[in-house]
Amino acid sequence: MIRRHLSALIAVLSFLTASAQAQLAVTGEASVNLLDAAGSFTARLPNGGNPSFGWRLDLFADAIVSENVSFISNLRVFQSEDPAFDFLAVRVTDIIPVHLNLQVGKFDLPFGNLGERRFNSRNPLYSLPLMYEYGTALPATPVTLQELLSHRGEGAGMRLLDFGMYDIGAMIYGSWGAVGYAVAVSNGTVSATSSRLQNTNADFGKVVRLTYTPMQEVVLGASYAWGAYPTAGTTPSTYPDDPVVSTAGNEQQRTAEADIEFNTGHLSVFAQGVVGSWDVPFETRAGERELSMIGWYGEVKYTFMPRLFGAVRGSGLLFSDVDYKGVAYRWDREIQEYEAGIGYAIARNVNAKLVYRHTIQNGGGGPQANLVVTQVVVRF
Amino acid sequence: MTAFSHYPIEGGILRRILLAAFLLLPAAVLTAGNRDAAPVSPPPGANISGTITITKAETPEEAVRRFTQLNRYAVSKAAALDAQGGSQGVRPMSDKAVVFLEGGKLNKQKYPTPTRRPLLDQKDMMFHPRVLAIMEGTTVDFPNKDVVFHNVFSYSGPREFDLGRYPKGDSRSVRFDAPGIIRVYCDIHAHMNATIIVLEHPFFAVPDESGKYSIENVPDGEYTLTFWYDRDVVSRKPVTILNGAAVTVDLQY
Repeated sequence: MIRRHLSALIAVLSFLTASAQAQLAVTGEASVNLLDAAGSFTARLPNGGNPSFGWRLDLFADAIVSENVSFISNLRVFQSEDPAFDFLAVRVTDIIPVHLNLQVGKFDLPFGNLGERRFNSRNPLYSLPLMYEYGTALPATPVTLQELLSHRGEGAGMRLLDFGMYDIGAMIYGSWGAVGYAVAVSNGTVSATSSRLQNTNADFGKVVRLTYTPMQEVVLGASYAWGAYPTAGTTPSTYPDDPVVSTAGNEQQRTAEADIEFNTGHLSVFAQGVVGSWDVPFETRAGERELSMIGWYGEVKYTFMPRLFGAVRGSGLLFSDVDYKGVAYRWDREIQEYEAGIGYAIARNVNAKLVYRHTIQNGGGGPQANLVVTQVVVRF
Repeated sequence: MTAFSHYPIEGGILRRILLAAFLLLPAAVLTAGNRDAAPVSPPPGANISGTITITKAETPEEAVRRFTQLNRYAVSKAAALDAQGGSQGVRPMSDKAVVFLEGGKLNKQKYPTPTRRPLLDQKDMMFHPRVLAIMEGTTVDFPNKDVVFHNVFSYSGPREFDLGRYPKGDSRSVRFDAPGIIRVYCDIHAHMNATIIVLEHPFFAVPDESGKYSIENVPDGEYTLTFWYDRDVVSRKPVTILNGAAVTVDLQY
């Protein structure tokens, strides 16, 4: 698998650098962590929570083909996963004088303000906010209400925001003064990206994002995404009490968010709130066929002195109610997570972090994903 | 030994400097008290001047900056960076070259504390100048002239600092009290780097755009003329000032 990916990357870069004007930059980062958890089986803990070493490698190969054309790629090699291109796109900039830019290929959907903090070298902590990591009880394939409820707390379904939200599509973006914009169309949705596949249903995901920078210290953002999320063609399960509609496969997902970033001096603050809803092929409450949830996080980083920084983050997920045989249930177990850590720059390109994560999940039966992790990240 | 002695140097010259340092050590110890004496102006001396010629092909810094502007994971900010633009030209020699003296008795004197506050600008997504020579005790200002944040920092031993983020029009300052090499970076834009050379004496010069330089009022003695270009020392030449006679030394890289 990795040989195939690397061959493709080498072929593309060779082609680009064959151009007289092309300039190539290859950089990357690698991280190793030692993780000790509470010893429980959740999708968010590797190796059943047993003490483990983990690692991740990212290679960035970018080429500037001409004044207005660039090629961008990111090959991710992650423990226990096949290597994958997270980013493989061509960008054409300054198409018209108002800074209209075009990006085509595989890229991160313009939704929210996670930005480069998805990488260990820029993430002051270990995890990502829950909305990016926690798998809900709802899968992309149709299920019945009973099946949905039976998978609560397992973390095996779709995320509210699919990790890095990498998908294949096209995007235009740019800015007018303090206002930035991005409009993207992709195979999948922000919860169910189709990053390794062709489109899995008849609809495209659509994303619109606006940002406003009233002063250099503050960036306000808002995004909205919609589109069909299920994998079409999957035969729905049936259950006597949950009549599954025959049109399964075109149910819509609608997701809205607002975010803020504040930087001044040695202080950085990030926050985001997301509201998501999914049409489902079963009745969730009288006359309704919709599930919804809210995700939130707030993160603060402060640099105490040269080399030494600390960070804290709180994040949570709230779920709507469903009625099952006359009883109201949350369609997944609500969860909150608090993370605190300190970091030290051993060198300009080498960071060490010590992080504690505390997870509280309603009905989860005790610690689910608490952990202590030490991590060393090298950029090159 | 000086703070710069770990940089490349010709073996013969190195031996001579080490021998001179060894022979001069007793005298240096005996005269160490002079460093605590009242500041004195440098005695009248000779000028060391010459012309610097750069013949070596260089990697265009502009290209490096453009890679940073790809900024793949912050679309809304990428647009701002695109709008920011940047210098399309080649840096003048005065931005990248410095010549200074090492050895002799220069470090044993007490020189007036500098009052001039040089600038290390953050402009067009680059530091200007790329190389800044100062005397110990100098305070350097770091104004941000870009519409985006920068976060200037250094982990170099003689002076670690982290200035945090501040907007366009604001400035922070750092005083450098110990001699040595200070590597300066931006935490946000990895391609941005500069070097501050903190010297114990005022005998250094920045060439003009044509490459001409002049180090003035150098007292009699044997020195090493060090030519620093961009990130490193690129050459060293022995220089002797005798009876106040001016010396011309042309340098090439």
